[in-house]
Order: sequence, then C-alpha cells, then structure tokens
Amino acid sequence: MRILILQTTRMGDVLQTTPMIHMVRLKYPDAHIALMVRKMGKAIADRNPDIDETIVYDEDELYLHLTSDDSNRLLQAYQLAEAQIEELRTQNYDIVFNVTHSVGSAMLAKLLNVPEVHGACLSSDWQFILRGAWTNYFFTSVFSREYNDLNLCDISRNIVPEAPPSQELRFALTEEDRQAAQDLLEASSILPDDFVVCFQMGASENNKRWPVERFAALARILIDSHHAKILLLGVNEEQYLGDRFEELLPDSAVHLFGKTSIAQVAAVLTHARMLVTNDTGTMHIAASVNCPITLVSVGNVHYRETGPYGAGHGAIETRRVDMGRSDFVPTAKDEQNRIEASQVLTAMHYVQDHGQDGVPPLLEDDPALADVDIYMTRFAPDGFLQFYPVIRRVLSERDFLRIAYRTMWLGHLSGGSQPEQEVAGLDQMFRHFSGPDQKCIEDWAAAYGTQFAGLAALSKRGIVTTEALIMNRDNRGSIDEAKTLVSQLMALDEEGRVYGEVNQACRPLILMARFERDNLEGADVMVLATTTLNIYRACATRSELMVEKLDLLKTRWNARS
Amino acid sequence: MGTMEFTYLQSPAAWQAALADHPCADDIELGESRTGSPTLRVGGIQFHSRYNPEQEAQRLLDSAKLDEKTPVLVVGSGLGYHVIALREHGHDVVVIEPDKDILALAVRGPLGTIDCLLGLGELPDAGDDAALDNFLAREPQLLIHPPTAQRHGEFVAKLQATLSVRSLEDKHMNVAVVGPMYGGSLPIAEYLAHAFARLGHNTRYINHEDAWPLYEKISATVTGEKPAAQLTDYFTNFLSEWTYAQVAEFNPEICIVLAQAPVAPNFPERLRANGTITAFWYVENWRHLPYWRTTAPHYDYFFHIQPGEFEEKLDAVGCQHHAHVQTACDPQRHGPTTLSEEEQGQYGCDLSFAGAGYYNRIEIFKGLGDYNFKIWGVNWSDRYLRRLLPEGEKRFDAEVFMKIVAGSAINLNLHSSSTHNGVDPACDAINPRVFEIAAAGGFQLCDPCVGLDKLFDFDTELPVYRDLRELREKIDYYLAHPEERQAMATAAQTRVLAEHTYELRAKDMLRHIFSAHGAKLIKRGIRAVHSVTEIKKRLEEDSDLYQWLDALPPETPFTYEVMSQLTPPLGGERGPAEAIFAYMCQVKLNADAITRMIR
Repeated sequence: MRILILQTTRMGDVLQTTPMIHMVRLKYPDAHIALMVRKMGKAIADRNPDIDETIVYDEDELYLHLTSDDSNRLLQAYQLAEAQIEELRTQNYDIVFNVTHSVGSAMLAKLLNVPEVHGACLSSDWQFILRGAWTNYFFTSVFSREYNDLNLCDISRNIVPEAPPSQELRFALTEEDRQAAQDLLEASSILPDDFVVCFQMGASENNKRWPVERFAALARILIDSHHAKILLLGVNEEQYLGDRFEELLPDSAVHLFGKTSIAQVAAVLTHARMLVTNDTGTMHIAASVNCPITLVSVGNVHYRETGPYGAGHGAIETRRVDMGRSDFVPTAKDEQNRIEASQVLTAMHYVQDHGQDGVPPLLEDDPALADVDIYMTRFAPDGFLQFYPVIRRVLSERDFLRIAYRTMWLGHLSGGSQPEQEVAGLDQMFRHFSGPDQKCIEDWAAAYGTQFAGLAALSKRGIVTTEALIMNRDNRGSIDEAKTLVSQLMALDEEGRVYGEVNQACRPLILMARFERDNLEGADVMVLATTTLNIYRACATRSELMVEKLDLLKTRWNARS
Repeated sequence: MGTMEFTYLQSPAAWQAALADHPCADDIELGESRTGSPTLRVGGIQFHSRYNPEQEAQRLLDSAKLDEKTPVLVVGSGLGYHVIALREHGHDVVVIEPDKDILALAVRGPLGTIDCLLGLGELPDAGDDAALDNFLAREPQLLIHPPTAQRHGEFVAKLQATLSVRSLEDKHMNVAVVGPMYGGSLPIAEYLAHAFARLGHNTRYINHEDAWPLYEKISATVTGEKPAAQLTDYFTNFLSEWTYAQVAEFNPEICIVLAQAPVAPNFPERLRANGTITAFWYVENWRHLPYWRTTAPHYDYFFHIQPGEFEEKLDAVGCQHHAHVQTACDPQRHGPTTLSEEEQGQYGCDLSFAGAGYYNRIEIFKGLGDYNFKIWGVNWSDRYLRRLLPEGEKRFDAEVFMKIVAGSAINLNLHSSSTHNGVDPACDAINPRVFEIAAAGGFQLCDPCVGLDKLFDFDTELPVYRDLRELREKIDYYLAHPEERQAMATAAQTRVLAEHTYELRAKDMLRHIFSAHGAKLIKRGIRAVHSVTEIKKRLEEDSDLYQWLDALPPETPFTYEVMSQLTPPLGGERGPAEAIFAYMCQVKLNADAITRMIR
C-alpha cells in the first residue's frame, strides 16, 4: 500500500495535519506514507515519525516560468510540470488524502491517476468535488465560521475513515535539537530554573498582530514580577518587530530571529513556561511539544478553528458581538490595541495555574477583564477539543446555536449520537455561562426549532419529488413528467437557498447540501437521482436533529438551573 | 570548380596545423608560473597569474555564475586555462580570440588537446559558418577573459554588440509605446505601436488621446495663469504616474516614449530599475523645441529625425546613445483610396495642402490663389487663404488625409517655419507628410528639405521647389503632364513602401537598441513570444503537447495569457496536455493569491 498525503499549505497547517497522519499510520501500519509539503513545511514533515517520505512541493520555478510572459519559459514550465507529474505517477500511489483543499491540489491528485482520493478531488468530467462528509463539513465551516465549534485538527483527522483516534500534534525532537537549544540558552545566560517566556510577535497578516508595544509592556511586567527571561522567536523577516521591541525595552530580551531551525525552536519551547503568541505556526510547534500557550487572538483569527490543539492552552480575545463571522476582519484601530498587557498576564496566570487536567475552574469576574474573553482548552467528553470560557458570561444566541450545531454535527458525522457524552458535554459547557434565564433559552429553542423544522419539511418535499423521479425512470415513465419533476427540484433548490438567506441559522445545513449537490459525479440519471435523494434525506435528518438538539440544550440548561 | 567552404570555427588541432609556423610578436612574454604552468604577459598586461593560473581560472568561473546547462561563448582564449576549467565542468564551449599570436600560443600549449571550437578575429556574417550559426542559435552565455577585454576593448565591445544583435534580432520582444495626448507625434506613436505589433512583438500602446479633452477643459475653465498651470501640472503628473503603473505592470524589455508624451523626467530611471530599456523618439525640430536637452540624457536611447548638427548637441549634453530614425508611412493607414462621386466633389482639386497654417506656408500659398487650390487644417489666420478652406478650420485624421490626397492632382508639401517667407533652406526636419502622400500614391511637390535627396530621387520620384516662382512653374508643368505625375507618384510609392515604413523604422530602432544594450537585455532575459507552430518544431510529433498545439490555429501565440484562455479550469473532457496546462494555471492562481497576501 502506498499512500500520498497532500498538504501544501502553511507550516502551521502541516502540524495541524499530524493527528490525521497519525491516524493514517494507525490504520495502515505497513503502508509507505509520503507527505507532500511546501518548503516551509519540510522541517515539520521531517520530524514526523509517521511518514516514510517527504516530497517537497516547490512551485517557485514553475511560477517564475509562468509569470515570465515568455514562450520559451512557458514551454519549460510545461515540461517541468509534466516531469513532476510523471515522476509522481511512477510512485503508483493507491490512496491520496488531499487536505490542501484547493482546486490545484485536486487537479494534481487527478493527474496522478490514483484509484482512491479522499478530500478535494476532481470527478471524471473535471468537476471539483469534495469526497467525504468531513471534507464537506470543512468547507461548510469555512463559510459559516460563526457556527463552527470544531478545531481544524479534529476536522482533518476525521477525513480518514474508520481509523483509531489521535489527539496530539506530532513532532519528534532529537537529542541534537535539545542540545542545540540548551547551548543557545546557555549562550544567552539562561539557567534551567529561570522563568522563561517566549514571545512570537509575528503573524501572517498585520491585522492578526497584537502590537509590539503591548508585548513590550507585558515583558516589562513579567520581568518585574517574575524576573522572567524573555525570548523573542521568529524568522529573519520578523527582525523588525524585534527592533521595535528593543527600542521600547532595551536589553531586556533575547532575540532569536532567524537564529534557530524549526526543530530548535521546538526544543527551546520545551524550556519555556509559556509561549505568548499571535495566531502563528510557532503556536502549533509549541502545542506539539506541550509548551503552554496563551494565544492573543486579534484580527481575523478564529481560535476555535485554528487555535492550539491540546489541553491546557489559553486564548484571550476582545469581546465580540460578531465573533467568528467569516467576513469579519476588524481594523487595527477597532481591535488590535484593545487587549491590555495586564489582561494577557491574567490569562497567562490562569493557564499556568490550571494545567491540562480537570475541569477548568472559573475566574472571578473582574472589571479589569470586562472587555475581554478568556478561554481554556480541554478535550470535551465528545473527544473533540473545546475552548471553555473561564469568565462566566451570559450565553449568547450565537453561542447557543454553535453548541447545538456541535452536538448535531458530531452525532451525525460520526455515525450516531452518544447521548451520555452529549449530556456530559453540555452540562460541562453550561457551567461556564451565567445566563440568560430559562425563558430566554426556551424562546430560542422554539424559534430556531421552527426554522429547522421548516427546513426539514422543505427537504422532505425534495425527497418526495426525487422519489417520484426515480420511480418515473424505473418505470420508463413519461419524459415530460420527468422534466417537470427535474424543474420542480431545481425550483426547490432555489427555495432552499432563499430559505437559508431568510433563516440564517439554517445556512450551514443548506451550504452542506449545496456542497454535496456540487459533488454529484457522472451522468447516469439514476445514480444522480439516488444521490440527490440521499442529500435531501441527509438534510432532513440534520434539520430534525437540530430540532432535537435544541430541545436537548433547553433541557440541559433547565437541569443546570 | 566549386566554392570553397568557409570555416571560421575549427578545432585546436586544426588551428595548431594552420598556425604551426606563426611567429610570436615581440611584446608577448611567455613565462612559467609558480605552479610550473605557463603564464603570459602581452603588451604589459598580465594575461594569467604568475602564481597559479589554474586557480585564477576557477575564480573567474565562480564569479561568472554561469548556468550549467547553457553553452558558453568565451571571448579571449589566453592560454586557455578558463576554457579547460569550463570543459571540466561539462560546458559546451566556443572560443573567439582576436589575436592570432595568442591563439597560436594557446593551441601549442594548454588548449591544444581540449575538445572545443576556436575562431579567430571578427565574427563572420550569419550564414557564413554553419557551426557558429548553430552554436549561437543555442543562445550561449558570454564569458569574457578580462585581460583580453583590456587589450582589445574595441574588438570585445563590437563583438558583444554583434552577438547581441544576432541573438536578439529574431526574438519577439515586449514593447511599450507611450504616446502623447495631442499633436503630430500622436498618430506616429500609434503607427509605431502597430508596426511593432505587426513585426510580432507583444506591444502595449499607452494611448493618452482621451486625456486631451480634459486637459483642454482644465485650461479653459481656470482663467488664472498660475492656477491653470498648477492644475495642468497635477494632471500631467497624474498621467505620468498612470503611465508608469501601466508600463511597469506590463514589464516590457523596451519602452519607447514619443515626443510630448506626459511622462516625468524620472520615468526612464524608474523603468530602468526593472531592467527595461528606455528610448525616446524626438519627432520634433530641435531648433524649435528645446526640451531635448533635459530629456535626451535620461534615456537609454534617443532617436531623432535630424542628423548632423543635432547629433553634436546631443553628445554635448551627455546623451550617450542616439540615432537618426526618420518618420515613415504606415501602409495600412496610408494607401490609395477611391473617392465616391460626392467625395470627388468635396476633395477634388488641382492643388491641395493639408496641415497647419505656419507663417511660411501662409506667405507662399498666398501666391497660389489663382489655382483650383484647397487647404485643410487649422491655424490659417490669413483672411485671403481662409476662403480656400472648404470646411473651415478643422482637424483631419489619416482617413480624411488619404481622401485629400486621392482628390488632388498635386499635393503640396512645405516644411514649416515661423521665420521664413517661404522655403526654409536650412530645414532638416523631414515631415511625415512626405512619406504619407507617397504611400497614398499621391503626386507631391515639396521643398528640398536637407536630407530629402538621400531618401528620394528628385528627378523621378519627388520633384522639389525652392521658391514660389519655381513652385508655380512646376505646378503648371505637372498639371499639364498627368502621365509624368502618375509615373513619379508610382515611383515614390514604390520607394516608400520598400524603404520608409514604420515597420522598417521599428526594426532600425531595435537594431540600435540591441547593439548598445543587447547585453543588458540578454542578461535580463527576453520574454520571447513564439507561435504554437514555432513551439511545435521543438517537440516530438507524438508528444501530448504537439498533438494539442497541432489542433490550434498556427499563429496562436504560445503565451500564458492565450493558453490559459484555452484551458478552462473545470468541467468537460480534456487531453493530457490540456490537463497539465489547467493544472499549471491553478498553480499560478494559487501562487498569485499567496503573493498578493504577502504583499
């Protein structure tokens, strides 16, 4: 068995894929597993004990040829691409897991003529399709982030069907890495018992950066109160952040910009009490070596989705009304400067004090924390990562729906509800909220229940119409009647789309159905009709499940009271 | 007896035989280095290290950063240490040596047994030596032996220029042409851009014609001189920035700016930073407009229409590369046309003039009022002449001009002057009208502008006049001899179509640019544009790509822009080559998105 895993996105994404890769290894212990990554992901791939081969996907040369506007170089690009594809074809892979999720990666998987492709791929008629319920869920979550409660690691690991679970990021340190880190710390006069705090002040986008001024203020407090040794991590290109830090707080931190390999950063992080970071690849490295993390989640960051994977990490965020909305990109003025160093310090202390085990206790409400939310990670009773609020707030309508969705999706996508887990999970989560009153919860459950019941009814009309179409084809009935039924189904799709616009809470289910419909493969009318029928059935089931879960939430909230 | 075949390139052994008895010049000192290898000093220049020539050769190669897969043309053999090092690295090598003495020493010494080809002296013309032609066709990289360049600087510079021209002349370039908002250079810019495009170059014409009405409106709506000037300056600066953005995005190898184009003085410097060669075509009379002084030194090449004194002036202001490139005709715009009956009434006449009413034209044309004479154009301030304007003061385009020519028995041409009463005997700025009338098959009488006799035969193609009296005599004569008129018009037309088209001017410009800046262009890398037919020649007939390209129209450009249009990303059936192209397009789109994000 030869397996190829395509993960050609960023370094952090490669690390977030490692639980999934481990599941592939557990399912296929004797397989040859190759992982295709970009250059930036190679250092991660090389330290992954589950893979046999790293293939570096380097598009630089191809891209330079393609952007040259030169016929000769276009020919070179073609020959290069042709040779790359041919070389991969000769590897005769049996399975491809495509977790890159792009059209380009789907095309590559298609061009390799591999018999079994999971994730994003192309149909025989070159349509972009998403194979697997969890792959479809991934895309649904991207377009309705406000209702997504699942971490990317959990989503991607479930793309591997029927495999033993894995709940850890995988990054194997060597003795050389540890020694190099030790040498580096010694050279910086850092002793084993020192209170080491690492900062990663960079981020892929400006809006995701907590200001250097705040990091410097936090460093000042940490140095004054804990005699902390501050290490600034980053690549060469982030040195300018260090320069600014130095201006603000001279001679107070060890600058490691560009001085360490990825593995050495990981080894350095094993010595740290904490990493304070923006949403970065370094954060995932820290998670992989169990370094406690405080994520300062600013800008267009969805910490539930991309935050640190593992128990015992914290995240702090400005309180948001529209938290998680996928099109919400706060401006620098709006958000970057709002979180104070003292608030992050509180989050750090919390993370430091409450480790990885046990139910995260609640923080006393404090006016100084009024405009932030702090979260702590644990694996919930359902086995998936959960960010628990540590300051009790009033449950919002959006929280209510997101929790209901989590319960529904996990039951549905995992092949059946686990009632005891669900109850335990809800009870645990609801302890972290202070309100609203039972009446409010009942009103929400009733109002949204009606919306989902409406969607279920709409889906059932689809079921009836599709069944009629199948019967018509089975009995070689009138073509005119078949055409009428197809027209009715098309009208129903449009009605569903409009329903999603009017009833926004239902959008994830409608999106999911749309993705599934877009994935219809082949031209056989009966196959298409049968698949369509299954999509309507699934949508009806999910809608009814949502009604059921909303009711369960209401019941558990009542029990809490 | 057959023709003896010329062989410029020969093996070291062949040269050894040919130069066996060749004596060495007195200024050549052959010695021994510390490593025991021979070393050389010529005319006081140390050709090889006295300590370690082999190590020195290796350093030369290291610093040259040569591409391993591309052959190397070495200029200057010396004793051949660098050639030996190149061969040891697996390079395919041809060596050109200017000095017979040194070549003789080299082939008798270290170079004697090396597998390479050697040539002596200046390069033969293309087609004279098949081995050399084949080698140059592989676009070799150049390695110049520094002491050879020091001793034979002129030879090396000329060789570089020749190689550049030979290497680049069949390449399709990306050329930007920047036009003005208004004026005589506006149509020329357009003709030039079309000419480059017809020659197969990927051409972008930056047309500012649409900006002129707004520019005029600004001037008309603000009456204060200072604020009006400030506003038009802002507007011109904006146009300059816009032009820069367009050209920079197109990223051409060459950008040619026409006279009066709205670009800032630092425009060429900014483009140069991206490796674009900039040129300016000054289709103005330098004696009338002085802005060439501040423009010419900034451009990599400065083209003008007046040879002679102007060239000395350009040297004096520090313009390093300039050349005389005359205006011309565009056969697609300037050609014979047949007039309808109505048009015949409108344009038909014995005499016509189409152009602006400069002082000398007004003065001389006042003496032609007794002919069937029609004048077209603007600025005809003289009350007497204004009655000859059938449509009053009105600008005309090339299409109307061709009708004017078609309707006139005799087309008058007179080069403008604001100071002469008639013909300016010193005028050397030949106007485009000369070529355009000829291309349209019109018969013209012209003043003998300096240099015009080098372009036309005055007796058989283009009769000239020096004053009103002579003009009237010739008008009378030629009106009475229509066959002669026709014969001369046909001869002039044949001449311009063969020698004076914008396509030929464009080729001239490129030749000049390649000669002076070819090395820079080669170093930058030429974005060649080939048709699918040309690309097919490099492919096996049974290859997937050949099969796909074979189904496309033969002239389809093999460029990303075109090919990506032919490969929809999703849906439908596709062959293997199309599938790879679709994949490549996705790679580019993804990388574009990442690049945008990083920026």
